[in-house]
Amino acid sequence: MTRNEEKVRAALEKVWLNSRPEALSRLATLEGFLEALRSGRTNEECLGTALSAAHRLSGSLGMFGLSEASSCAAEIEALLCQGSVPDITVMAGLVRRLRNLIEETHVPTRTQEKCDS
Amino acid sequence: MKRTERPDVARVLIADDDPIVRQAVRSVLEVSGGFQVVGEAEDGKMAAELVGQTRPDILLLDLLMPNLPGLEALRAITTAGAEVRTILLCSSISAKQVLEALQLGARGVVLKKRVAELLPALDAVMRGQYWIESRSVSNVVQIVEQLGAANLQPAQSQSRFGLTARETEIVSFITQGYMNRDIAKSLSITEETVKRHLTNIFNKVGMSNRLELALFAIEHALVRK
Repeated sequence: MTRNEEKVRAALEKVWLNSRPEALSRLATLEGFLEALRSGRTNEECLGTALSAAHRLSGSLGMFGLSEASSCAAEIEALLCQGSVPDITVMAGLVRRLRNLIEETHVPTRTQEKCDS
Repeated sequence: MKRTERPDVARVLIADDDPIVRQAVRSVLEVSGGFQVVGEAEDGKMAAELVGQTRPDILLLDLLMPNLPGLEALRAITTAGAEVRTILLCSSISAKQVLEALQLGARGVVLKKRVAELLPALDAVMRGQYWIESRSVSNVVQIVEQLGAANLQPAQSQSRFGLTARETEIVSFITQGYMNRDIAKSLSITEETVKRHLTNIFNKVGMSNRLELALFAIEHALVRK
């Protein structure tokens, strides 16, 4: 890895650390949509919000090297784009998987950050 | 400024509806040096307006955005005559969309998951080249070939647009990336004759440059691979 590539990687890691709460908030939006789906309370607005969350997760997670999570979010986006009511079981599986993938991402502690710098 | 001249600091406008993406791109550009972010747009309409106001060297443009989708924003920017080099920065894109973007004047495509390629892409585009499929390409017709554009659904019309057999032959060479002197050599005619044929071809099909002609020829199945 060149010095420039290292700098880019470090910059992206820093942005990811700051953005992780927002990513989790978007995930919560998807989980909220799933709950609404289960209770039959979905509407156009709710679907639009979920679609936007899935789309943004798909794009941003890929930038931070979370390619599997990005693909998972893209699958959710595709499911929501179908036009018909998404399959609850499939949706639930994808959302659960996405949470696992985001949560298992390495978050350096302050000590580690100091060691790395 | 000519397209091949590279200023010390290239001015960049970032257009993406996701603030996380904008922040990530801004960070990448800032640590790399040689780039100044002159603005951020959160939708296509704002992108088109900011291009006019900030006159950036490069526009990094997302495809899916509210108000005005990326390609429509690009169309508006091109129509307005703005001299900005546009690179699409998107999650995914089809070959057809790449071709449409090229027709609208885009100079490159970078997928968000390959954001590390942003810097070489920006450098290539600032040097007057194109950046497609993770590499720099100097000849746009090569891009068309690489994208397998000939495999795209051609238009149903089999019209030859009044082109003669010789002119069709020349169009075929253009889609393969031949320069005028190479076409002249291949057909045993002079370069001047090739130019005359090209002028006639452009007039008949209503195109104004080789890229447009190549894309037009492929779209209308004027040539075979």
